[in-house]
Amino acid sequence: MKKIEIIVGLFVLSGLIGVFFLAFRIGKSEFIGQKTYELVAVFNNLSGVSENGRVEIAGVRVGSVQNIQLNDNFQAIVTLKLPEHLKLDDDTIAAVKTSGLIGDRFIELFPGGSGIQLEPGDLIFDTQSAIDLESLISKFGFGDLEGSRQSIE
Amino acid sequence: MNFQINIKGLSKHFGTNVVLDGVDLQITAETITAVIGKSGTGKSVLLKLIAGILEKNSGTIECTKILESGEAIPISFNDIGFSYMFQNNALFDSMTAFENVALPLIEGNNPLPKEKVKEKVNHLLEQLDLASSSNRYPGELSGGMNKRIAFARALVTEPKVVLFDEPTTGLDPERKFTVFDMIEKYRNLFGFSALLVSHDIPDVYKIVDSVAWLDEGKIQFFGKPENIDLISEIPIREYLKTGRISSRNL
Amino acid sequence: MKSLLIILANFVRELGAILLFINKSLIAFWVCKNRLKKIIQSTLEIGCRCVFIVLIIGLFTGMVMGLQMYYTLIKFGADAALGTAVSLSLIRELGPVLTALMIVGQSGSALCSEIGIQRNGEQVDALETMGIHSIGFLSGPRLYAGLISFPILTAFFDLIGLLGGYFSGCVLMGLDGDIYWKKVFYSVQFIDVYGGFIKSVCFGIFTIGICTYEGYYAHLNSSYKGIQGVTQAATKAVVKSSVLVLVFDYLITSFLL
Repeated sequence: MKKIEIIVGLFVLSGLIGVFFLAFRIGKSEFIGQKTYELVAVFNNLSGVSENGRVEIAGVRVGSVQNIQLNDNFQAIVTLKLPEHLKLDDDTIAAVKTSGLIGDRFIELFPGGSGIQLEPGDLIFDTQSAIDLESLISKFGFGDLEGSRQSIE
Repeated sequence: MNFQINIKGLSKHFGTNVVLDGVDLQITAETITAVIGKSGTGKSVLLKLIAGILEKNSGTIECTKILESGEAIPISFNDIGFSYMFQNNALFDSMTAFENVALPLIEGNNPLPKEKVKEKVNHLLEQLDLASSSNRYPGELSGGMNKRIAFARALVTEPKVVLFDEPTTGLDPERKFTVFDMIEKYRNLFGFSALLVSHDIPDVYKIVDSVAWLDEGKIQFFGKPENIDLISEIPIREYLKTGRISSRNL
Repeated sequence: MKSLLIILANFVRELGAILLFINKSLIAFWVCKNRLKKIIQSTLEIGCRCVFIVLIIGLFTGMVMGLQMYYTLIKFGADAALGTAVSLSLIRELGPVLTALMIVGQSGSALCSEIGIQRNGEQVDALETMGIHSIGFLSGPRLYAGLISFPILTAFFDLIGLLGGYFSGCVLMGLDGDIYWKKVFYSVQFIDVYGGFIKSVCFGIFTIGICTYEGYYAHLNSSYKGIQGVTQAATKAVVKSSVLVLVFDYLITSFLL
């Protein structure tokens, strides 16, 4: 009986280590009990971003996409889930980015420095929609890009 | 404890095959009753119905406990305390003889502390000449020894009723008498009632108080072994006395 | 058409019977004595005995995946995505499913025939006459052991599979190991791991449930009696659990995605 108990104990212990390694190290779960808050952002084009997608700052994953909905103006409303300790100012920019040429779409945040903090549920005003490669190329072909460059200058 | 078990109109059928058709039987305290009959007449089914292993189709099993004052109060069959000794012993192959006998004490409804179990089981194994093989598995022991282990398991809970399903089947004649002697001896020692399904006519008559002959789904004869002589029909009398069916008579 | 309806009705009836049996076993287990000892014994039978086979199968599954994915991805120049492909398919699908199939083959058939033989030898009836709840005694500890063992073995399978993918993709085919592990850590989300474990827990409860159910009712559900009935019950248990593993895998995946 003693030997059996040791074998089963070892089995369960090593198994639990494996389960936790998978869940918290590889799966990067937010630890249970970690408090989060939500921010809202409106995009004209959210193509390629999905629920549970990544939210990054400077390439570091900080949160996830909680929910995506369409509003009355046919814009995409995104709810972002962020950890409570992450304070963002109200001039933060949210942009849809692509990892690699054909990679996943995710949301990148560029924190601002206005000094006025966003409260839970607040709206991020400044957003950059997904870059539409196709229209970019067509604009380039019809010379639209040239015109816009001139106007900037 | 004085008690009485009244079985009335017990019936059982499997599909369209009627096995028992209104069996009436009475069991009283500290008596041994032999249930005899041809193969396939439902003797084992009767025992299994009493033990609750099979569901009865109709009929009642009423048990009453008789107090010293003479007052009779109803009690359930389970509360009287019974055990069942199976035809093929039904021992667990993965457990040693000791563990098999200890099983009802450890896992049953009224578990005992470890030392108590050890003491009780070892004592019983010693009485049944099994002390030397208590750490061996049923597969390593002879048929007769396995019978005795099954017997020990049936007795270890000190039951008031023991149901024996063909305890002597497959044993050589000497062992057969050993088992009969065992049943009688422990009946005298522990004071249980026994219901005994057997094919060993007339050997079984030596230890029983009454005989119940089961045929065509009913108890056709119930009484003391001596009373068989009073049966007027010769073929039946001859059958019950010798266990042989004479082709001339039947 | 009519026979199809009968088959469907039988399937539904059987599913209900198995669910009731599982429910009964889980509850009746708590009236049994020496529960911890029983769970330890059953975990040894169901869990520990499968560790070796799960590790072997997991390693080679990971290696094959590494190789196959490598050759597919290199065509698009996307060989850097090997870690993503291997880790997601292992953790989401292959881990829970293959582990469940291995345990059914290794332990499920054995415990089904063990209970079937005990039914055949009247040991199950003997338990009842001793006042021991036979379902709780025979099936209960095994179900709880299945609940413990399946996620653990799935974790073993996932981890050794990732190692196998690393071995064939990076050591044999010369991909950068750093990128592989980076991609593994980067692409697997908690929801993937969580989904995999949800699956393995579900598989654990109903595969062990089916195996004990078939063994326990070997005398009723089989058209044969005796030993042949037991072997038939074991075959049925393995086939049914394997089919249901894949069916449930689809259902759970469609709920989770």
